[in-house]
Amino acid sequence: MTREELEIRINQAADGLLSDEELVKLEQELEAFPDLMEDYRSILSLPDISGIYGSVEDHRNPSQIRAIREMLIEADEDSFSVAAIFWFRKVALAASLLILAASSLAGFVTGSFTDNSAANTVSVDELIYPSDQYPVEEYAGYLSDWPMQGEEGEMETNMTNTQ
Amino acid sequence: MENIRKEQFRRSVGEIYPRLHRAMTAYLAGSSVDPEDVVQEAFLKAYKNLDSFHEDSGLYTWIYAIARNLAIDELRKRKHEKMRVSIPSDELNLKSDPASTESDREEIQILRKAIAMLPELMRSIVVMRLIDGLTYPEIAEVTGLNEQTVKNRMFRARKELAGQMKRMGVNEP
Repeated sequence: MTREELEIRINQAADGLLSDEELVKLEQELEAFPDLMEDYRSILSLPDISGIYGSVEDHRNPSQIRAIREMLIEADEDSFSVAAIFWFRKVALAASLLILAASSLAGFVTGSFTDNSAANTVSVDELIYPSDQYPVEEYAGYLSDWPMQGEEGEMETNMTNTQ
Repeated sequence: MENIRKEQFRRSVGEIYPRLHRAMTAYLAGSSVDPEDVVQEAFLKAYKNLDSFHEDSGLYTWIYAIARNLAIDELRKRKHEKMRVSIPSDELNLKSDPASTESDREEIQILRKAIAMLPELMRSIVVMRLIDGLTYPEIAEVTGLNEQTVKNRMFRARKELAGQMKRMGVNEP
């Protein structure tokens, strides 16, 4: 047996997994390795340490167990509120984008966004300067219409000049 | 489905807690890390990550691995703190046992101290195998080492423990 195999066998012996015959055989093998024989002896003489921290029941603490269970339930509630806020944010953003898109679409479909809207709206100038009917403007209007009066107007002017 | 798992987990706290508490108390003896905090945090972390638990591994070993990792993190944070030379008697929890004599208590104190002085991995394996009674495959699962390596480390841990005891004047023929 190699050193490594012997170490494993010593471990098995310490775990109580070897029969008496196997133990005798192991000790015979160990004679060729004095240092391992020493390890074997010191390991087998270790006391049982399984009970040095008491039994499992000694560590039962009902109030602590209850506290942990409550903490877990609280963690669930916390994660629910975090999830709720997270999803609310996402849904709120999606909803506002949807409303914007829907209203834009509706505007195009109904024609609210077509250019004739300008015709129906009152311009700022019109609000500030309502259509005052001053005589000057009427006169200006008369003059601009003047050439369209034709020769009659022209004649009248000529006639006055001659007179 | 998730709620059922969570409910089952909450119910298993009563079964797992005492065993894990004992293991963490043994593992963290001599340090300033409170095993109670580690156990609590391990349950919380396990609960929040219940999705990552696969039924093919044991629930206890899974939580044990979480608790051990948390303990290692905590020990690393406090590595500059000097290790307590003596383990306080309240940590020993021996007063409640009327059958134990003064010499028994002394021997237990020495054994605990010897374990506490082992390097982390050796201490971890000794606690898992000799105090908590985990099998080698279970220890391999907790530590992430292969079974053969665990057995090899166990031999070294036993050897180191025996040496420690010898240095403390125990176990001498």
